[in-house]
Amino acid sequence: MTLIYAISGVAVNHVRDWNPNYTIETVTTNIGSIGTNSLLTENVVTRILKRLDEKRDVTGFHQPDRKTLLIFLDGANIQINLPTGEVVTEEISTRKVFRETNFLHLNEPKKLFTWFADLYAVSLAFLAISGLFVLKGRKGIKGRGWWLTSIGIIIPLVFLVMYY
Amino acid sequence: MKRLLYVLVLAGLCFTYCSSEKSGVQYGNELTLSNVTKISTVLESPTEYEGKKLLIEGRVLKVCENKGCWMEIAGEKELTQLRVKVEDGVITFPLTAIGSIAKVEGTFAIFTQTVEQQMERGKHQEEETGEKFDPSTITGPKVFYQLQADGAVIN
Repeated sequence: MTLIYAISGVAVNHVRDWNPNYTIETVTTNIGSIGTNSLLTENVVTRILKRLDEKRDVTGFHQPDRKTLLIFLDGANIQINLPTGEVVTEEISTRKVFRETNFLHLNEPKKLFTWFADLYAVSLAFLAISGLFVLKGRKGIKGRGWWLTSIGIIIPLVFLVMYY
Repeated sequence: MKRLLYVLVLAGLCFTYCSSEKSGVQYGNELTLSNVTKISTVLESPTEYEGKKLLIEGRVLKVCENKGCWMEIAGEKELTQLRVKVEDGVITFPLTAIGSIAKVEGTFAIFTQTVEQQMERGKHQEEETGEKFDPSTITGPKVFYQLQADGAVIN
């Protein structure tokens, strides 16, 4: 469990730099203007896919507005700007291990896992507090332990003062 | 050492199972309604459906990339779609749902956004999706529709 939280923790810490759950590969091309004002049909979609030399199976398509066409393929999604002919093909896949660890770390399951995660957190708190008093003498809380505990409190306080 | 190996193999098998594609995955609360209301019907007479609990069905067009907190569902007719929204963290819709068929149950709501709210929303969506936001498209207050979702099943 600690490893799960550690792996996911690092992954979601860098959410500004990457998507921690998915890889999104995009390819942009241009097939020339398709024309706009009329609604598109399956024949037009087939012609577009032929221009793209796209052989994957079509699972559906939809025109959300007069300038955009979305085509859904088995394993990819295509967005076409009809006036300009710009085509963005997107392939989305889950990041193995990261997706699963994030799923647990961010409590997406809810239900029973919420209780288990709470219990785990309480156990960690118990370990942290009881660990202060396990060692005696020079290595205990009255010796080296005092300095280590102080550093453990001061460092987060410094970040709070800097950024909160 | 052997026991540790067994545990690791079991964990690997679990991850493989979890990673494999599954159909009919439920998110949030179980669906309680059985009759689907067409999105195009709702959008033709939105005030009739305001505040009502509905079950809609359609292809997933877009999903929030950041927190999976909204989806856009295609209507039966072209040029129609409805946004489905959940509170952050309550349900997380997967990005891989794009292109799949979803059934979503929730309460239909009508909102009016001021120009300032639309600007803010446009900039936020630009950050989320990368799609360029053109402020000149905002000409005045705008009414938009949304389904506040309680549960969904995505195939």
